[in-house]
Amino acid sequence: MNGLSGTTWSSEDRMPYQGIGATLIKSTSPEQELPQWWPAALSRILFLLELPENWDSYDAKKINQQIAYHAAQILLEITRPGIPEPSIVPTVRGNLQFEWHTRGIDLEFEVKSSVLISVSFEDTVTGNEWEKDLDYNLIPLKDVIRQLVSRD
Amino acid sequence: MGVNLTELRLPHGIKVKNEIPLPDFTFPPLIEVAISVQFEPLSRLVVPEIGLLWQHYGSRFSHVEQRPPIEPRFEKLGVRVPLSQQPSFQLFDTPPLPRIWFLDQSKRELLQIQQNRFIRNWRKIEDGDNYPRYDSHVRPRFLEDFDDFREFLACNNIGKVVPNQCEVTYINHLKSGNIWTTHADIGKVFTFWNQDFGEDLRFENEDASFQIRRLIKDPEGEFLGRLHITLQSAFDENDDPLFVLTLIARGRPLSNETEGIINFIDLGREYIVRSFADITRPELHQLWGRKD
Repeated sequence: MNGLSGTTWSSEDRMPYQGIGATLIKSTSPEQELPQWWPAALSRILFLLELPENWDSYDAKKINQQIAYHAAQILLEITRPGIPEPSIVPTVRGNLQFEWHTRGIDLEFEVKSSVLISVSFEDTVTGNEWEKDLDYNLIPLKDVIRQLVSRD
Repeated sequence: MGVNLTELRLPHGIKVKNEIPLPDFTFPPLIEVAISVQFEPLSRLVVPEIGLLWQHYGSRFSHVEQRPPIEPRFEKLGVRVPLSQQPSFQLFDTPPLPRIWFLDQSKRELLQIQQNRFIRNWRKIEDGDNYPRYDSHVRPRFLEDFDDFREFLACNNIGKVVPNQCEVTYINHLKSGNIWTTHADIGKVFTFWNQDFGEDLRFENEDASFQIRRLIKDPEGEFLGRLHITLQSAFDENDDPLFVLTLIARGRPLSNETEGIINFIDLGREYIVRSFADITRPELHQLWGRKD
């Protein structure tokens, strides 16, 4: 393979890696197991993207494409085996919200930007509840997803 | 623009956890260094504006090329796998705008622009090219061109840069020679490799690759991002063995201003340089003219 830096080097059995370097580097990529409901979730997001302005007759905004993209990414990032299918609802601000109301847990999070989500959590079994805005540290969300899955 | 951005440095408390001087090499095996800022998409930065931007930069960048855009990447805690390893999908009804390369005459200096990224590269093109250094070349060129970019956006009512990730990349080509001759000699190149491993001749190593991720935190232990270190076995144009060692520091800017961006870049660069010296063997440091 010809590197764009002017130095030629070769490697085998790789798929392209898009780095910010102008030198093309290749790397392998592990397989990712997706939940069975993933195609339906993606279809739902695509459907919500088609909603017009004022879709609720109360001046609701059209769903923002970038928000939808980041919402789908976050859903992928937090997905783990055994996670139930979320409800996906539009918000009047043009954002997307994921909801689980099952197994004694009420979990909702709204994706507000590429790096901001608002999470609301209530465990009706233990009485634990909180609301938080999360940016780059999603560990609190990961922990409650783990609780949701373990209560299967 | 009032403030001399090249003089900006990490604020007190962020700069260095210890006072050990940064490793310094006269002849580092670098072939490319890039600094990138990822930001919220600028929907009004479209093809005609890119043409105007080329004019804005003037004669410094005489060549233009087109590349596919780079997908957004975020360093976050609590996610299961790095974003780059997830299946990709496309939700947009219009094709994504390309990433545009602006190259200088020598093609060593490169500027890459897309709707949500600004990237500034230095590349080694010929064997005789010496790395022009971070402090005296790479950093000030980035600041100058990024400042120009922001000024262009403001003057043309295109929007404001709202950064969400910064990235600094160092790509090294470690060439075989007197100290090591085949990829099986990996223990003579990297400190983490136990040289006893592979001594049993029934199991001769052919080559190896690895990937390490290190957390980047502020002095209070707050997560800022990650350092990704990747090694690949490869061959040069003469079919001689080569190790390609790539170090990428990516994380959130410390503020939305240029100072917050360059503060993370400086910190990431420090992680890169210290990690490079940490994982490569002293015998090679001598070859590369380690000065500190």
